[in-house]
Amino acid sequence: SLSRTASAPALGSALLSARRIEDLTAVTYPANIQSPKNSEPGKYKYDRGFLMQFMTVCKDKPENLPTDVIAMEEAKDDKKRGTRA
Amino acid sequence: SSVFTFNAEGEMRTVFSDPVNFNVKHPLFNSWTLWFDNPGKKASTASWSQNLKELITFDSVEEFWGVYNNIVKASDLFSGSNYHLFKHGIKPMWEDTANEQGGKWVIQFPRNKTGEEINNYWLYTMLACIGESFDYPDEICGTVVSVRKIFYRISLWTRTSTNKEICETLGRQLKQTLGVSPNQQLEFQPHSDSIKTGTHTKERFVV
Repeated sequence: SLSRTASAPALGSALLSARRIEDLTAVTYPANIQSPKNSEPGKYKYDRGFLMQFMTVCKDKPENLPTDVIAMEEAKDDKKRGTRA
Repeated sequence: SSVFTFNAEGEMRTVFSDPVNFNVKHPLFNSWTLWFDNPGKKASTASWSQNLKELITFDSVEEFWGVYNNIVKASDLFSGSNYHLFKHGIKPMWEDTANEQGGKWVIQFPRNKTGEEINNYWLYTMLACIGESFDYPDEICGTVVSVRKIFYRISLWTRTSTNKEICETLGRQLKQTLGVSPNQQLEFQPHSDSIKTGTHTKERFVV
């Protein structure tokens, strides 16, 4: 539809079309990004320091992630307060 | 459109160089499934398995963070709730064939002293699992964070409950991952203990 083409790509569309990296050693990272340590061919081992670097970059919600089933304390607190300010 | 096509000479664009139009992602060695349950007031076995919800299965670093950044933090969950992160195909229950011979390392954190730190403990444990950081990665089944009135609990489920070397190595590495004091003693709990209570002559693993 027209509205669909006019809108921005759906969140996470790059995630769906991105190819799996075969050889981690073939990847060039920006200078400020640490490469994975102790990676073994085909094992896809990643240390915490490497993984943490994605935290602030990968923010998009996967399309198939249901969040309505997760009950949280905040909901209870909102109810107590009556309305959200 | 051609923007999204990858050709042999094309460069690999990671999420770091192009957060919107990246064309490669970092595969995980295993696929992982995140489950959630909140048994509510009724705590019978029947209601527990009915309440267990499969949220999502993912197999890349980028997807993991997309999930983590868009779900409720452990510290914000209702008491009684659990997140379970298990290898795809393994249900987070004793009855699963991958678990039935296994057991778990368990660490409890008092809620009042721990607060939001539990979010880091849970995150670090998940990262060690999905990053295949443990010395016997094939022996890992999954990990659980449990939210209760006065404590949080992190469990690491293993495939074996009889191999001392494997169990104790994983227990020590869990302690390292969480940064708990080497003096804090952890005891391994075979699932068979949880299923049938009674006398036990089996050796106890402790780290």
